[in-house]
Amino acid sequence: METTTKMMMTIITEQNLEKIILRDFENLGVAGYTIIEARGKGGTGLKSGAWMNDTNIQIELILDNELATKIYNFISDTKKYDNYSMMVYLSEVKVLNRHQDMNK
Amino acid sequence: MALDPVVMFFIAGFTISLMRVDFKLPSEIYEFLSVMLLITIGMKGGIELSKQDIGVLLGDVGLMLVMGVVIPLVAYPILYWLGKFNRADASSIAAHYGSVSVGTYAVGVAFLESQSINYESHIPLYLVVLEIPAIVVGIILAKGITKETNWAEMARESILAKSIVLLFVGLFIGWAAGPEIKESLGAFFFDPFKGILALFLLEMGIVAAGQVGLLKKYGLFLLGFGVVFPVIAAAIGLGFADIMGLSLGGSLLLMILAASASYIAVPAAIRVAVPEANPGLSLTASLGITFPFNVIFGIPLYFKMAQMYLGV
Repeated sequence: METTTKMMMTIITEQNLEKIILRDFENLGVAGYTIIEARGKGGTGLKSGAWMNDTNIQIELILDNELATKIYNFISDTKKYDNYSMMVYLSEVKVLNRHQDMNK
Repeated sequence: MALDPVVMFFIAGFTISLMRVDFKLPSEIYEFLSVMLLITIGMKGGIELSKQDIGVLLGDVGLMLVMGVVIPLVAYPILYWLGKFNRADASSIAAHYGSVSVGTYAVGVAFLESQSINYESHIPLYLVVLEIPAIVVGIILAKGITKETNWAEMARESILAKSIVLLFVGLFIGWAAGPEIKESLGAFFFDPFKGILALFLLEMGIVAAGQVGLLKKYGLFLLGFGVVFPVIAAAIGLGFADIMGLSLGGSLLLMILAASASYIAVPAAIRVAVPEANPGLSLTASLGITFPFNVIFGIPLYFKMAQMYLGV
């Protein structure tokens, strides 16, 4: 089984932030991502997903350690996202060596 | 006067949501219904525009821009001094109330159609125009004119907002194709208008009731504002309708535009431009209080106001 160990960063945040956060990520060197529309409940209330202003997104990034650290530091230091509900977590994943990975 | 059936759908949605019945339309269907409403409203206006000279409307469009600036400027001091909201929240709520709600407008159109009252058919053009200035005023009230705001992007985001683009698409196609479009597309767009609106309002009732729980959190002032301010704004709208010499039907629609508060375009724009404003406050006010108030009580009340003022 040929796999490479990578970091998966998952960001759950408000849909309204999507364009802004993706632009920041791309500036940091992220070339690929997956976005899932999400519903849920947390410290900033219920997000029922019933309509546009009430929807969360879940962004998943597969990254090498260096870029993961860079993005992690950016998110911790920036004040831009202070007023948005946001949850970020990292996990280690084994990625199948199929073809070239974009987020080097 | 009996309630319009479309309003009963709204009340039904509101009630079943309060009873915690687990029902909501799939979001794709809600999207579809709002696309249908926007295009149909735009197209109705466009067909009528094709019959007249657009040049003469330019002055009135300018007046509408003024109204879009005046209403948030009236709302802001009330919210800031009387309501004791902080600057960001007061600006955000003011922007919501300065902009318009297409759903409320559609109920107004249905109200007039059910009583066979005519209205100036270029009002949908004002609907488009009024979406934008309040957003700009709200951002300036919150932040002043700073370099921090990316105005080019803000302009693109608000002018190219889906609701505005779809209204324009309807307006343009209606205008370019003229009245003949009724024969080819009328059966799809115009005939089911009230049915589409009924389903849309059913869902809006559910969404609005979902905001009611937050009312306790935000207190009585917001409730009072959400009911009283639309009436003040409607009176401002009536003043502008008078200057423009609109008919009874046109005056009512303009009052509805003035009285209604945005719950789609403005929340999205303000969330990005003024993130420190609490989105729960403005949405509870516009969607949980003012939308139901306008749909159930406001529209008949504004109609009475217009009748008295115009003496008809």
